[in-house]
Amino acid sequence: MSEEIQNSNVKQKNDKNKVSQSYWSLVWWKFRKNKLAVVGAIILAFYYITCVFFAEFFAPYPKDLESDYLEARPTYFQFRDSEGNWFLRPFVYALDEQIDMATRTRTYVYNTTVKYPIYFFVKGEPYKLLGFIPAETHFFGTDPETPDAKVFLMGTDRLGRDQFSRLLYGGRISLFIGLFSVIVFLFIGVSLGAASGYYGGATDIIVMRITEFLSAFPQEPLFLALGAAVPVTWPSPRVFFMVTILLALIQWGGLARQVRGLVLSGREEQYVLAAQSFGASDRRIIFKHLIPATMSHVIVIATLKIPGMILLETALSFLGLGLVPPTVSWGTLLQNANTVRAIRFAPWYLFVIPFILFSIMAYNMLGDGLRDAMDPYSK
Amino acid sequence: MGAFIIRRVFYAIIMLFVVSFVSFVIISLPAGDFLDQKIAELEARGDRSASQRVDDYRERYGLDQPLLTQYWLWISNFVQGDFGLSFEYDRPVRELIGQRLTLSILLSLTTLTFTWAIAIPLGVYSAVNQYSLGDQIITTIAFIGIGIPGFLLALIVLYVAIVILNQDVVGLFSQQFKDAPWSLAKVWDLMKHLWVPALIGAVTGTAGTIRIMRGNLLDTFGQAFIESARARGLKQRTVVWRHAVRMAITPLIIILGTEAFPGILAGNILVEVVLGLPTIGPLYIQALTTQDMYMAGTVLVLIVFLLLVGNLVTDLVLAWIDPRVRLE
Repeated sequence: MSEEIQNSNVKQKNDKNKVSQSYWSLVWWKFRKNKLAVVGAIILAFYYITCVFFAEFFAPYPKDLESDYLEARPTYFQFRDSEGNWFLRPFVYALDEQIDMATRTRTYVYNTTVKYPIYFFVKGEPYKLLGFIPAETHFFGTDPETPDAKVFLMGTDRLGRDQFSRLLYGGRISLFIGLFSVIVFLFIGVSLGAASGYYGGATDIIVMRITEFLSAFPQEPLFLALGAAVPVTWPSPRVFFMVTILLALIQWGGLARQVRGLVLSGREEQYVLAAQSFGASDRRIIFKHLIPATMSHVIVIATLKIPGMILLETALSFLGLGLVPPTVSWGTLLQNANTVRAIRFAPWYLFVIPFILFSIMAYNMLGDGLRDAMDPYSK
Repeated sequence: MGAFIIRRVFYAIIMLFVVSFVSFVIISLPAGDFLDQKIAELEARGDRSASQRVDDYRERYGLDQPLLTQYWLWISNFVQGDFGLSFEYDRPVRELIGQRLTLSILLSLTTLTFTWAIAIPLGVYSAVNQYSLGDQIITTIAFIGIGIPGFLLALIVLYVAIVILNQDVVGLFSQQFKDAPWSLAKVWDLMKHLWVPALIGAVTGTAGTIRIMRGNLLDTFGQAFIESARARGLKQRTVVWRHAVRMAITPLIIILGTEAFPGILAGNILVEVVLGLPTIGPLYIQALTTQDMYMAGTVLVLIVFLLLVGNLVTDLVLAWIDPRVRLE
């Protein structure tokens, strides 16, 4: 008897291999065909490698290392010198300080007679890779034998810190915040939405009233007010944690409503009724049947939510109401650019904008592709 | 219909009370009393009469009383039009908001006009010529536009204006007109500045509106009355603009109520801050930074008020159009 069943199972399996695929492999197939989404995924992978995981390696300098060059202009990679000779190995020019007596400002000019070649995998400041592997190698840098040589791909700030390195470290915080707050957002939204849809009654009424209440607030002004309420005296990890929670807290309402709707219709499905009649516990039905059925929908919402979270954090910190220095995030780095003077005399502070925009676009592209792919049966 | 209206209005009033209380709590959360700071500052300067004045305020607004009493004092004055005092400016909040309200309304109206003037024709074109090259380009730009936040765009505009064009785009008036009385020259000067933030707001708002317009119009095209209009031999232009667009534009009216209306006060706070506009947005941010609680609380509650009124009006309009809503 059991052998027969096994046989028929094997037979079914073989049939499946021929004509059908699992849901997730169909999703993967459809996703791969969407070029824009794949590009988005690649860009994001690049961000996570260079910023989140290996910022120490890709950044030529530690984020707090102060050099003697204050608000110096970027020294870009050069391949061609002032005499018109081409070089295969990129180099940077030295910077000469100039004081403009009339305006009493300090500027830097390229000294085209001094060239510092760029080396890859050079020895630099020691660091701990991934937080525990001691290392000294940086992806690129100047010759460690000549201590005068510096490379500031995107200029320096008022304390002479390399902006490019800080942008990588800042990306770590900003991308982390986006990811963490979405995880908290998912946790609150899915659990409350599922509870509300499954139990109904008082639970449902209370949860739905709260979401209505939240939607009565305009999101941005509310978030700014909450951010301002975080005490300035708090240590930075706590502020980071708080901002993450706040981001999730003001936004879960919409997700909870959608999950509730999905669970409400899922509750009437035959497989759920079957599980109930077998005496499955509520917990088992919710976690094994109802929530997994909402997952494809939820993943798409989450992906499309991350860029909004990153932007809100950036805006909050830019206004000085969120993360504050010494925490390095894209928002706190953008703070440098909030005066007309800074934009006129140190426009390289604006390099943070493309960093933000590309990550946001990549998330949007990925999310849009996932939305199409999650419904692989449609043409 | 009457019962429906009463129910909705009642509901909105309850919501307004709850929301205003929570706003008040959030705004007065920051540790340390703003007035304590102020007194210390004034006493350091040896200003005794001012310290007396601060004590008067403290008594008047019940700042040494429990939070609930404070809220009650504030909200009961609020409904009578007294929004409290801005401790930062030492002037009534109402006066400060009133000064900037005109420009805020002007800015949001201009932004809305720009947005619709760009978005509706593009959305219509996109839908009429579905899958054409023009449609693809518009859809792609709209897709990118949704991702670009206004305040980053404002920073880019500042960079282009200051570094490349050497132009002054900060604020809404040139230096010589800032405190000048209203005149034709001043209005012209305002126009020369106003289009920059309005266009930035429009660019970020257009993307979503184009998408909505395109989608709605495509849905409308499938309906029978369009077919009958075509069958009667009407010109394509008449069919599109007179019949289809008129139907497809209704959801935009909803947006008008739920987004544009509260947008008068908080349309694009960050863009206003970046461009240093004399509107209400920057006032709100400044109040939050300096913990000027009545100022911040008033702006937040007024925004919520506009949002609720906008929602209410939209609901009523929808109920009037569609009887299914009010019978639900």
